[in-house]
Amino acid sequence: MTAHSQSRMPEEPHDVSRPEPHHVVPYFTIFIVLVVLTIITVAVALVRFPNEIVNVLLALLVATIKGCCVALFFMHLKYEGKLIYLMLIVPICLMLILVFALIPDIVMTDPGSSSASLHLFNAHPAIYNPH
Amino acid sequence: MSDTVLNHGYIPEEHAPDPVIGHGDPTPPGKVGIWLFLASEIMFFVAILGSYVILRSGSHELFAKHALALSKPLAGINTLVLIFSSLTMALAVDASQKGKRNKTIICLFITFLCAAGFLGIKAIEYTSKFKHHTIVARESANGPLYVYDGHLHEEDAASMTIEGYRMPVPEHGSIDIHLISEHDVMNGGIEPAEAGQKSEKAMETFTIPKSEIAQDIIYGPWKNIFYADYFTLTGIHAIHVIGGMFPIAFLCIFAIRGKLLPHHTEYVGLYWHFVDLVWIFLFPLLYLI
Amino acid sequence: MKRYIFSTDHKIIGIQFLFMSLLFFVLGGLLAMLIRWQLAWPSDPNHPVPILGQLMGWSKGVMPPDFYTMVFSMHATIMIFFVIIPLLVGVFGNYLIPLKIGAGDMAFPFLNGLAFWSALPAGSIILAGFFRPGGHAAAGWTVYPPLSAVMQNSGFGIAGAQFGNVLHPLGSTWPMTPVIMTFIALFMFVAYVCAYYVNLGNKVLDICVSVVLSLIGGIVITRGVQHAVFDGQSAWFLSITWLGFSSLMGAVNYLTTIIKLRCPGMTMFRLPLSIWSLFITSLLVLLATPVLAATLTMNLLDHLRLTSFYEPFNWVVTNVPQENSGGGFAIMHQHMFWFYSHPAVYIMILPAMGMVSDILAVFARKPIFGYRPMVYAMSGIAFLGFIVWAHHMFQSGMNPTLGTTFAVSTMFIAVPSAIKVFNWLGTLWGGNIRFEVPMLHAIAFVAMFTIGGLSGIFMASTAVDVHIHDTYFIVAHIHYVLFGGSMFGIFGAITFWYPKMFGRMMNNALGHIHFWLSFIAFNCTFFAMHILGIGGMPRRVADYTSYPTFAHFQPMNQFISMSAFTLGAVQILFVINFIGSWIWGKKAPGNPWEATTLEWNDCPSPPPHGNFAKTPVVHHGPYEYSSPLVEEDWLAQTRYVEGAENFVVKH
Ligand code: HEM
Ligand SMILES: [Cu+2]
Repeated sequence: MTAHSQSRMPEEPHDVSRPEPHHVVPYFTIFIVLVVLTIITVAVALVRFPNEIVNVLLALLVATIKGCCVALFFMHLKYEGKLIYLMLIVPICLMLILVFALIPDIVMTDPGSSSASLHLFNAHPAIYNPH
Repeated sequence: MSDTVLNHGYIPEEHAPDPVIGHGDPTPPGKVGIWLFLASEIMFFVAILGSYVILRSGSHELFAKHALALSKPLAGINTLVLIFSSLTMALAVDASQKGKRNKTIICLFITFLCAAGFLGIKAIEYTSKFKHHTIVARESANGPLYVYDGHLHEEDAASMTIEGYRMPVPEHGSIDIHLISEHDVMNGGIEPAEAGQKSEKAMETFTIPKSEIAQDIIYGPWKNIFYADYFTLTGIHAIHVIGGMFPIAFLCIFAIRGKLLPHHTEYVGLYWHFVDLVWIFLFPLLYLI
Repeated sequence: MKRYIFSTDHKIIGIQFLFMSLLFFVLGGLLAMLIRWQLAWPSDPNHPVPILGQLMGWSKGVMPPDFYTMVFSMHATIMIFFVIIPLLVGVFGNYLIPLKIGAGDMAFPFLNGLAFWSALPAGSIILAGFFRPGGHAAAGWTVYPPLSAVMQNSGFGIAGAQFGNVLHPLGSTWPMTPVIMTFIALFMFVAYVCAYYVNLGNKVLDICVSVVLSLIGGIVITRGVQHAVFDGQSAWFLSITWLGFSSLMGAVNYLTTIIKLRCPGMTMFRLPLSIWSLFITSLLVLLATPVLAATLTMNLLDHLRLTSFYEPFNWVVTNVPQENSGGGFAIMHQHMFWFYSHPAVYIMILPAMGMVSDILAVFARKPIFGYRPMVYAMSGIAFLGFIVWAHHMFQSGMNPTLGTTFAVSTMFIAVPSAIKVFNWLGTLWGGNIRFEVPMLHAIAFVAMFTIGGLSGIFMASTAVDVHIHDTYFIVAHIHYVLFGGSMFGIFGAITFWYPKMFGRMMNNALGHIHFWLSFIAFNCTFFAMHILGIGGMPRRVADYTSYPTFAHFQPMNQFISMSAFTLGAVQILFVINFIGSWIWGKKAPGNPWEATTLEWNDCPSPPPHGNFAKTPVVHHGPYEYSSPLVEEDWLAQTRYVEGAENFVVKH
């Protein structure tokens, strides 16, 4: 610490020039899109398709689209260099790895076999559990 | 090492003779830092969401049934509030970069209010869950045993008044109050939930003498793994919201004092959008599916 | 004050970390001695535990089994989380990164200091756990539930039916010592923040306000911690999660610094391998630690009986039904934990690999063999490290499909590891080797890591692992990679950079004696464990002699214990050397080892605040030894040589 920099009140980094908003981002349009998509998911959740998987996938799809909108426009990802994309791709890959690697433990277990590791509530069909 | 001199072909960077000045990428260090932080935040939420996915696929029924007890309208409003705060935050960043002080102040202030509003609505949701009881009790001494499920209406020293549903305890076996849901009690039995279908049965009011209560549990995180996930996920998200309110408030104060901090505003903005983004995924995962 | 205690200078912070982790090293070492005492004479009244046996008032001085469980759990925890990771990442990450890339300091110096000051409370909480009535955490360093959810205070088997029960001020049973310790650590933590953010224009006023704020903050947080920590296990969870945040701050800082603050000419492929390894390690910390934080948070909530993510249905402990709702999935915890902890074992070895590469090149007076393959191998290890975690779970009851998959991916990881070993050997080959103390440690690293890696391959095969899982074979493996690998690497690094850190040379003779005795004692101790493991001796069992099958292991165990006591005692030489050289050592020149990198050539020992008088400009890679361009056999990275562009050398 040199003597003159006594305090660390926020100070703009001096080596970097003031950031110029060189992009016109359609904030309001994005906002409207997000609102509409929110309404759509809620509507879908209330009406519901007979197939449960369709419901889940649809909800996740809409959420992903919304997430992309936020990330690309609000977070200016669309205008960033490859460095930041690089930093994001890694955790996303890891996320997929983690979730997919766990799937065999849940879905592919045969309840009869000893390797059926997952005896959660569904394995006990009733709430009546004889003690 | 040999003395071969290569004057042609590929020269690895580490042996290249001339200094390479500057490193090409204009991103300021702060931005690199905040994105790295967000990357680690992603992993944090991935771990908890991953556990949610696993537990859910292990007990789909339970999750579907209990998700029905959550309030979709409140969560929907909260989603809109958060999206709106994201918009104002983005506008604040834009304004502070353009040096528009008043607009920055207003936008930051609205963002802050939205955050507070979000937490307020969350608090309403939480209190409603903490008032939601599942009770196994007799209506009167020697009377039949019932399962009650509903919100606590009034409570005094001798009795509790519950607004909700009840069903008789089945003759055989026992009941686990951790697992039984409002939906079950309403339908008078344990059957697979037809997800999303909340039947229209009207609520009733019951008064239960405290002396006759055999078991009593509220819809807290200990109710079962669905609520464990619900409270953990939303709780940690709420902590992130609170954590975001402080820097937003500071930025606002600095702006009022006449100091615009475009870089810092941008970084806080990135964090804030991330919090919004997490909620965008939590909302359907917890409330809708 | 701000210069030496609340400093944001990366060198001071590095040295602060160094002292913290060396103190913990002593503690962890003492715990290890206790383990070995018990294993040499399990529950033998003829060999009461010295000193402690009387202090604790054990009958006949014999260690109770649950105490043994606690001791090995805490030995591992302290060594892993408070010794090796802080030593490698906290100390050398801090000390070396700015110096070697030609930066004045870290990208976020304040955050850097915060990382240290928040590591300290984590340390004090883990120490406080020892003072809990039920003893410290005893579920192993891997905290597998449901074992880790067992309450350790008798009388606290309370269901989470009401919030109030959980937050009941049980903390008031804390004895004074840990309270004061935790308070001091937290006081310093708040005071550090105040030192930089309280600015009212008047110095005296500032100090008064800061002290008051720190007092309040310290008391409030200490009270909070006292409430949350009602038994050893909860202390464990809280402390390690807290420490995780500290390492995250560090990782963000290191990465940003390496990405943004390199001096002109310092391209990514001119970074010394130690910096590359710290870069990759920081990535691992950044992406793996949050998973640990999340898992431990959930585990802590389970422990508090608030949730039951990992607790099974109808869960009974010693005939007492637990009042969790149940329905959780215990194996999920293992998945999440190892998703962190396998990358974490690479966090614990990669920096050592990088620093050893530097040391080998310096003392072999040769460029490192295959610089780029080394970088790619480390990246490969880091990536593969994320997809092998389930090799710790072959016997856990997970889906066997996963077993095969993970066995294969684990085998793959041996490829980059082998590349590195061969490159080290290639570096030594035909070199003009100088057997200085750091070099000896570095060579020992290579040899020991090879043995540890090879035993890893054994265990990676599912079928073999059925036999050796949870035996002393595993213990041998982890000590070959962690003590033989990381610790020798760390000793090498400390002896190598000591002149730079403290401006004094270490005593050479003492260094040699310490190295040779450690090396021999180490191998006597841990090699024998392979044999025990193959024989089937289980780990984490307090008294194996009570099983007739294992009783014949006792002589071997006694041999191991004797070697271990020697190994422990020998470390005293290191302490003497460390402290003694600081006082009496001869003054170190700027570049005692004739190395090429920036910290040796462009600043004195020890470097001043701000490191470099003027921003250095780099002209060469980090390993230009025996370059034909210059008279000397080393070509400093910043030394400009006329005509170098016509003289690019291939090797
Ligand atoms: C070639 C590389 C390696 C391979 C193939 C390998 C493989 C394995 C396997 C399969 C296990 C699980 C054994 C069991 O519990 O049954 C294991 C345990 C372990 N490994 Fe490695 N390993 C390697 C390198 C390392 C390194 C470099 C480190 C640390 C620096 C390390 C630290 C550990 C630790 C601490 C454990 C024990 C964890 C516990 O159960 O307490 N390993 N290793
Ligand atoms: Cu592993």
